[in-house]
Amino acid sequence: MAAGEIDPVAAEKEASRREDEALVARAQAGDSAAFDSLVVKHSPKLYAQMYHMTSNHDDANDMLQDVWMKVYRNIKGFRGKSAFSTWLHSIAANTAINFVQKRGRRWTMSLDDVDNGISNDKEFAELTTQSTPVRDADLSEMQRKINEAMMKLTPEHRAVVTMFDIQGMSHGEIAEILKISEGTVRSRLFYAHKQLQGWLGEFAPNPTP
Amino acid sequence: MADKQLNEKQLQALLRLKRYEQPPPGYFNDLLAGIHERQREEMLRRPAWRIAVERVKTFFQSMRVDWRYAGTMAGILLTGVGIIQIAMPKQRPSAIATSNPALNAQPVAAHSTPPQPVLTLNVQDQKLLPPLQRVVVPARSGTQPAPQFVGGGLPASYEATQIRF
Repeated sequence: MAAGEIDPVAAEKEASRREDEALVARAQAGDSAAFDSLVVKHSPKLYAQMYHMTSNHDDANDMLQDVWMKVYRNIKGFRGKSAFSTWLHSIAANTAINFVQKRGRRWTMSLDDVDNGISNDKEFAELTTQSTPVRDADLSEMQRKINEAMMKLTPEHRAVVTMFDIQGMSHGEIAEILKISEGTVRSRLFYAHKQLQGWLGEFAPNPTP
Repeated sequence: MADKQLNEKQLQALLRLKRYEQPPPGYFNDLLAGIHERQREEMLRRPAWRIAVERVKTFFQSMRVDWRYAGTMAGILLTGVGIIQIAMPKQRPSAIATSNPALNAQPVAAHSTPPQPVLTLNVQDQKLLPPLQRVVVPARSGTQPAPQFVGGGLPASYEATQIRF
């Protein structure tokens, strides 16, 4: 990118941050419509964070409602030291980690519907055109195996994988949300990837003859 | 099979496919309704004093009152009231009475003091009568009702009366 050129991603983030600031100020003054706007805006990303931590829709729904009620109770105390989305995802991450730790290994998977858009996904197309077991595997079966592998990770490692690999957050953002150093984020990712590579080895492409 | 392993890029591509796992259609509308319901439930559980405090706060916020300014003004007001209290000499009722001779002549109301003997008869000077002890008639307190009689002096009877024609 040329010097002086505006990064569209950064500009979009900045606009979103300003919009959040205005909505939070209104919500703090008791404007319920502004609070609803925050719920509508951030829930899809929060839901994904909750769902990928549990692989269960009902658990994700319960946790998401809990997170919004915590925000509702504490929004007046939010001083804006960090971005609202960072504060929000921090509450969500802690809620999810505590939930999974309390629940222990007892979990049931309830797979959410795979969006039809997956067939148009470039990476999915690449995976299936190669001579790989992904092509032969049933989509829901593959989904189940990925989720099972995710559930084998510790909650802390799962949170990092969810935010980095699935939600596309940066190391810095994750460090701020989880209140850990970027180095810790990187080491957790490295360790989690090593484990997942072993558990999902069956989806590795067949060696070319 | 065991030696097969995904590389970093392949693993990340596989994990990114999880983005396509979506909640049921209409889920986010239901979520908002669910949150509204929980907000209402929480409102009902809140104690009345907290709601009252919040209402007062909202009222002052709507007036755009600077809390520091309001606090300072309240402090000045309290200090002023305190100074006035100290500056004004307090006059006790006893001091008023002694300073006013006209008030000294007035009897003190019977209700303000406990029942005291108010009438003393000394009949020892009368020679026709045997010496008597001092007879003390206790004052009737203001709260006790006067005895009531039926028929101008006869006490009321609960016995059934025979009707005569």
